[in-house]
Amino acid sequence: MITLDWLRKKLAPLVKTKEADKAGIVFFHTGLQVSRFTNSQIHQHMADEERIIYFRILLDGRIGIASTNSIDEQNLKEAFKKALSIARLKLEAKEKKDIPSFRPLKVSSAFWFPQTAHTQAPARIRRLRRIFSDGNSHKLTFSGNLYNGLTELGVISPEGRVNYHTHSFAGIKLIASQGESSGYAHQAGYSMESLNTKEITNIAIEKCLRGQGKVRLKAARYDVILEPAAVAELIAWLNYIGFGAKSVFEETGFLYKRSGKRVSGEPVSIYDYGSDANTFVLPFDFEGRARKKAYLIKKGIAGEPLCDSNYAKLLKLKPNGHANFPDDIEGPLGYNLVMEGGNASLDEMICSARQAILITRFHYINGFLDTRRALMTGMTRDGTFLVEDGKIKSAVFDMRFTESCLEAFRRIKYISKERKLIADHLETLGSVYAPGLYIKGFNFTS
Amino acid sequence: MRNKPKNVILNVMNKQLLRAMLNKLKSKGAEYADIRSVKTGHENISVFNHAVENISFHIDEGYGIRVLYNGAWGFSCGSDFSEKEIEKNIKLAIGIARSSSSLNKTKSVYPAYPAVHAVHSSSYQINPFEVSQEAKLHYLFYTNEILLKPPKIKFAQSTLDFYHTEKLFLNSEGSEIEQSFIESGGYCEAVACAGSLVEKRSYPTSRHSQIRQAGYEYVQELDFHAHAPRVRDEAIMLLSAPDAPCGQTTIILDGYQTAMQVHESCGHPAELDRVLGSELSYAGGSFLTLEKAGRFRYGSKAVNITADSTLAGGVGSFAYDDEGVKAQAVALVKNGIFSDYLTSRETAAAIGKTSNGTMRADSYNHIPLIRMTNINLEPGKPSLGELIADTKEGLFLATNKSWSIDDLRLNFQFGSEIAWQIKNGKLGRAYKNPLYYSTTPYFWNNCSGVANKDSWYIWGIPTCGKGEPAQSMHVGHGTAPARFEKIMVGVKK
Repeated sequence: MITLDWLRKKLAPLVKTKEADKAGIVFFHTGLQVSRFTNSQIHQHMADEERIIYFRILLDGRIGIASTNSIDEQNLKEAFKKALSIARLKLEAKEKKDIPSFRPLKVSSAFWFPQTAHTQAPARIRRLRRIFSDGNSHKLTFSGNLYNGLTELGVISPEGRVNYHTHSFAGIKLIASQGESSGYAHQAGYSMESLNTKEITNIAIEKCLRGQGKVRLKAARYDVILEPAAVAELIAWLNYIGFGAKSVFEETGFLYKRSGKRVSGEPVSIYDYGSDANTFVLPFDFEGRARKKAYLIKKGIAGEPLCDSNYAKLLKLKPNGHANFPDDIEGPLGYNLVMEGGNASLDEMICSARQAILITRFHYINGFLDTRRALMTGMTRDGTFLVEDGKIKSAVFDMRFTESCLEAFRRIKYISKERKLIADHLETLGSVYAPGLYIKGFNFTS
Repeated sequence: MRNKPKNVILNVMNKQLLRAMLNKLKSKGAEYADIRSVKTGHENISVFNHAVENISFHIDEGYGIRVLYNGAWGFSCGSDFSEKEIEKNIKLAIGIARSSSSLNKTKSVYPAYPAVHAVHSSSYQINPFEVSQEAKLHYLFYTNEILLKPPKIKFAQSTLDFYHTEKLFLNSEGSEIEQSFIESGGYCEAVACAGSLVEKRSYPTSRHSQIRQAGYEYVQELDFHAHAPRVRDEAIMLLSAPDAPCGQTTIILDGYQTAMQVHESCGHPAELDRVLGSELSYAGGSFLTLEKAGRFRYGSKAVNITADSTLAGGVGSFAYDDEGVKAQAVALVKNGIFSDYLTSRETAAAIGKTSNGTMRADSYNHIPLIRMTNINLEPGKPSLGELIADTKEGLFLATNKSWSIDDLRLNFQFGSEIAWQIKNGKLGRAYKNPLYYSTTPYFWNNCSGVANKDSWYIWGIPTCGKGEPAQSMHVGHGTAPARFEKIMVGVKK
């Protein structure tokens, strides 16, 4: 683990160089331990480190970037030199770039649980033993993962100011399997203690047991009840194709020229906010600026896109603290997405349905079909059920949807009060806090 | 062809240190252990319109320790080569394996493999890291200048990527394998806008660089400048093109779209670890269940698919995989019959076979997984022209735009950037937003022809995702355009 002290002592002095107009540093680190299992056996079990240190050098409006995963002094100096040599390239910079400054932020230590960050394999094994035993008693097996770790982000401004944040994390993903049936459940949080593995196990088991005797439905429009994991995947794709300023600048995204205009139903409000404790907090962006609360959609009306300093300048908007990794060419993205909740419960949605499909989660969504409309396709997975007359009637074979997410969001009937943090990809970047949704006439195409 | 970089960007790795690490692992009771020391350098240069979007250079360096202890696996990694850190990571890997073994009811069977001593370097003519960044930028700026010439093209992007990987593999069986790879490539795209319409054309691939195990000569061969006028003109043409029709028809996929089709519907389902459930919690399983090997009619007789990690230039090529198994060419589908899986030492043993050498990790800090090597659709007899001439009515789809497939690799839907009408053996008008969907065995059984070697091309995809934590692998596909009958197209509404 790297500490604030190390950043201040070892990295911060490097920005005070006379060789460049400005220099900045970004540091990102994830330490992860994962017990990955299938057929109720651990098949992959690992301790993984991801670390990257970026040097950004500004010379006459040009920026050079070089990075290394090494904290060896010589390697750091070499990366610095490489960034300098890139910035020295003789180019006529038509748009002068800059490395912005920032004010140091007071960050909370409320998200740091050292025991969770450093939980070792035996503690995970104890939990898994109980989970597998519960599976055995229902004659089903589990696949999935149980993981824990820590995330660190540090940004050093050209003046040598440092913003540093760290949090611990833990999570569990379970797929219970029996024959052709499978059931998914997931939970993530800041501490191992916050994981209710018993409850997650029961949800996965129940979904799997309900999944027997699947019926095939013909492709058509159906009302759907989407659980939070399914909603989170749609929101993640909205983020990827349209919440960021680059998609507005390039005119490809659904927010292009629509700020202040209605883009979805009135109940829909989605924002990104780096300090929202319901997500994995990342209080500042990769330029060191506070990740401000930015409504992308508020009561169905489009807001401003997520901006870093560069796109804010290009689009004549105010930066809202959403700079991405220095070498990322996707542009600004939301890492702390929240969809506001409603008043219903998932049970009430089921009870209210004359006929609907209950969807646990989606698989392999692709949102590049028509990004202006947010047209997406994807499959259902690990728990898809037909609801009739207010009750779950039977399991359903997985189906493909092809649907404009924004148009579907105009047909929302209910939003659940309960929301859930979804971050089932072993990372804490890109978490979504999502409710369940009842959407009328969702388009299934095969 | 030169084989070894003159100006190596990476330092020589310390073999002695790795030997000492292995000895420690053995002395602590490891039944098997391997260590990979990997250094990768990646240069990305991207120009957006008339401005530099990114010039960056990243170096990643470290070692991964994989250990089998009491019949269970453990893995740890580090980038700090100090004795103290190495000792800590050795203990960690063994501790993890020991914990796994306390829970697992079945022990992993890991068959022995002969020790190998080898040195291998991929071939190239011009070391891309010796070409100045000014020259690379000039190439991209001029590409964008061509793309942006007509006012209707509002955005142009062109990108180059270069990778240099050095890998040293040692295992407890005595293998010591040193490999070095240089990869080069890029892509460019033009976006045309008019009112509410936005249309994009890309070359030669979309959303990612087309890469080869080659030097800068491959960037020259890609020749963005020659292709840019067509790319921009087609993007503009799409603004006034109608939407692609809906219904059942014959389709011909260009080589790149065929590569994506092979990737998703053959390469992934043939991975034996998926078949055995290793990826159930993430990417899913496979419809190619064990009883299908050697008897399942995967496709028509025109369909011959080979996994070939010896293919010169393919980014899925190597001399030995990350388990020390020799590169080989294996038929996955022969005359339409599914014949074999992509395997590792452990998974092959589970079905009574020996590994065909497909285990790779994307970096030092990740475990090796079964990965596609170069999964190739072997060329057929007709030329592309003859294939089109032989088609009464249909669509010719080019350049992948969207992709999605279910967790068993059966139900898929793809979109491409453009389609041309085929009528009475001739290409006609262009359509925008073409989509097609089907299920894998139906689709490949309706393959009525693969174009010949004249249009067979090695595609390189740098972003194949698999595993938890996610790994992004470079995989290759040699494909030619292929024709499919009675396929559903256009489900957009």
